[in-house]
Amino acid sequence: MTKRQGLTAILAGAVTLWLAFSTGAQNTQTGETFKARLSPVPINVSMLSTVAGSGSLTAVLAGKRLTLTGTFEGLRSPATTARIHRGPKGIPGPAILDNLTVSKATSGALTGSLELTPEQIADLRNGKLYVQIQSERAPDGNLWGWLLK
Amino acid sequence: MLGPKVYRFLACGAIAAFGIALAAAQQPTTPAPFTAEQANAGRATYQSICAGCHLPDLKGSNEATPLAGRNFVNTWRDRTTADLFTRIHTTMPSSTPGSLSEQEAINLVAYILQENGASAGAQALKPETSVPIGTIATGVAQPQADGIGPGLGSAPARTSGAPAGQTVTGEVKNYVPVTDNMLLHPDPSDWLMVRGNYQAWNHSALTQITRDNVKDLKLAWVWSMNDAAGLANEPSPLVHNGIIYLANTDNLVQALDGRTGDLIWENRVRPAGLKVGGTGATRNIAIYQDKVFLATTDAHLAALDARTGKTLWEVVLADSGRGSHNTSGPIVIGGKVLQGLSGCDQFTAKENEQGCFISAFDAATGKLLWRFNTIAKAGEPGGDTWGSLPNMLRAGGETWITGSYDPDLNLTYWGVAQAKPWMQASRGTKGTALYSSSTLALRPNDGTLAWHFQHIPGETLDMDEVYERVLVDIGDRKTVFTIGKTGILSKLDRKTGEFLGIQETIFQNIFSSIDPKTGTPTYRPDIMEQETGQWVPSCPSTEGGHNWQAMSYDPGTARLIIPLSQSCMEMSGRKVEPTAGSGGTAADRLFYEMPGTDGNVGRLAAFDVKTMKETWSWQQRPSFLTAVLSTNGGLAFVGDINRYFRAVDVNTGKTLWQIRLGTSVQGFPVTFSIGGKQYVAVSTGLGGGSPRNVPRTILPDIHYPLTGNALYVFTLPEK
Repeated sequence: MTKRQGLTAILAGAVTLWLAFSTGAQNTQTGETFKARLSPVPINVSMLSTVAGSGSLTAVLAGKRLTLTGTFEGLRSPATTARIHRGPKGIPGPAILDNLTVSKATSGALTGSLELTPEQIADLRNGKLYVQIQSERAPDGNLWGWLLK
Repeated sequence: MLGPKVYRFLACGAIAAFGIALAAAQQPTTPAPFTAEQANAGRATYQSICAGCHLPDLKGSNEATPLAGRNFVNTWRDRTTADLFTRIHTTMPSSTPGSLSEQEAINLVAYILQENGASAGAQALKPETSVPIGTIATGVAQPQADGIGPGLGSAPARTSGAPAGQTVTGEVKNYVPVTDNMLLHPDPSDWLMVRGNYQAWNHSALTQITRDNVKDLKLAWVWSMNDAAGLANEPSPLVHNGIIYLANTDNLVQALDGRTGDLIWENRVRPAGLKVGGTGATRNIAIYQDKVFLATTDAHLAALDARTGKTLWEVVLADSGRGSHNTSGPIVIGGKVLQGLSGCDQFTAKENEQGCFISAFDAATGKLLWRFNTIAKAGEPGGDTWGSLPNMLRAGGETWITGSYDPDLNLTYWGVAQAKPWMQASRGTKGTALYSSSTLALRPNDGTLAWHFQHIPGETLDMDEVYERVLVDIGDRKTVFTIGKTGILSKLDRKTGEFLGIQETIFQNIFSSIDPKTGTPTYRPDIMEQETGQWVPSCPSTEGGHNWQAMSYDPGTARLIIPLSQSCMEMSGRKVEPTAGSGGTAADRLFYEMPGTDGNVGRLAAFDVKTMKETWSWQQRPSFLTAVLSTNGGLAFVGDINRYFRAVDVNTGKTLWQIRLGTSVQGFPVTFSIGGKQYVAVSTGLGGGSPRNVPRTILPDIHYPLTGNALYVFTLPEK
């Protein structure tokens, strides 16, 4: 390795360390942000009369805590519950966290503050968690959206 | 002593009596909750609205599910009459869902129940009537008192419309026959075949309309096209010496003056209303010497006089009674008319109709020259890839997109659709099922196979690999590109079939891995473990990452410009009876937006042919419904479901011009020149399969008129 190459490597290492430190500090202070577009669960045309709507969601991971805030609109019947499910992108899976708060209306807000396990944090970072809202006329699911960076 | 005829008569009588007794034994003992009047009214509605897709005998075809027989009852046994009413009332007809009145939907339910063995009674059916269908229907129809047997007996397809024949007579003046040399080296002023040249480039060398002046593009004229309900309008016009040859829906062909839009001749080649399955599309016709060739929606092939439109010969490609039909037209190679086939999903006991085929006919006479069966039969090469399935149950393998051709290698390249029924669990085999989901290289002289490459062995999610084969030379390497519904772009050596590479163009979660050396995909394990009645999710959906809307190859930038779609689905395969007349696609589907797309279904992207890397892309919520047309003016034209037709810069994808048309823009844009003036033509259209059905479900916010099939022609203003 030449002297010039050595200096370049040291500089690159320093920049990498600085980036890692600053990113980590930022995550601690403001968290990692994930977003989800809420759209209808799998349907056919005949289900449009009961399953409809849209929304958006922001989730911030700070340490182990995930804080969710979002809105939805256009449901055919009032929302009832909202949960976080585990499933790879585009593939439904089981509910793993259910203590989200959702407006009992056809439009409104969705909020939550949850502590995640290390496995759940890994799933979140790998795009394997999604939020699903149920409604009175769509009790098995009305809107869903994957939490993605 | 009784003669053989008497014995035969008695035997037939005994069989008939046994059949009647068996049918009677299978009939429910109590009348069902509908009246004979409702069923009779439903029969009339069915004939006029439903039979075109679901067939007169209710057997179904392609994406139109069977409405009678054991396959129907297997699916609906545990659902109720109210469920069936809701399904019909809210989703049918597929081209205009929700347009049936409540009474029409009730009557249709009554008719369908009757055709499945339920007995009419005194109680009228109502929307809220909720009786499990399995308790009143067996799938075996009773003979009717008026002598009409099950499924309308031998009732013909709808022929209530106009009869076949020329409806406008006229003559193309100074017609110049189209020679082999013209097809090999098309004049840029013409558009002589679907996708513009044998290599399927969808590209024009015309340069009058450019990046700089496209903003001035104006409508020259518009021609309203046939608006036949339920039939898909997806045409690729042909242009020769200033005359446009245009295939409308319902087998109607017209010759128009390209400069003015004046009609010269018109021929309704088959009686109106003859669609026997599929979408009813006629994507393209072909022209050669003094003839225009049309593959009809009831599986005939006809040659028309290009000067006058008069029918010169007509032959039968396959049995339309089995659901065989055409949605794309032929390619003419060296005096041979090569034609594919659609609707090969029904099981048939007729040996000569089993499987599916590409056929070649003498352009002059219509004489059949050869056939290549895309389904390998037992004992043939590849026959073991269907396991132990008898030939009768080996279905699918449609060739519903016109092939391309390399004159130097003298090989023609065709894509083959998936095996049917769609899902392995319904088919009853996990074999690779040759030659489904493959690229075929055939010798056009005799139809023999030079090589094949199977993109998805044993395909099980209706992920067609049937689309355009685009021929591109990269240095000394002769390649063929194709992209299927999975959105995976493949590159093969077109001389040998050697796998050269792939590129995933959109998100997919169907395959857990793809061998980078062979291109062989490995399914996600749960897809392979699926049984009938179980829902399996996948991205993309049957809308396809790519569908019939063909890509262009722009030689100036060495890029493929590809219209893509982003949606997902859950699919559930149905149990299928292994009997003649059964089969079909046999699956239910639910659709949803593709995660990570922000609800954008349409995507337009360019890929470098050498590296296969994406060079630009952009996405929008509406899906694209036209092929891409690129030109040496540095432009690519494309249209969408939201009525926009636009020109983008081939270098960047940036929109340089757009206009909003009467309804969704659908078909194959073409460009041509008359008297030194360049024109661009594109169709608007309704109807179609998954590219329409999926957006109807997941894009309810995109609205377009439900009429408006037309051809729009644009040009630059006079200076």
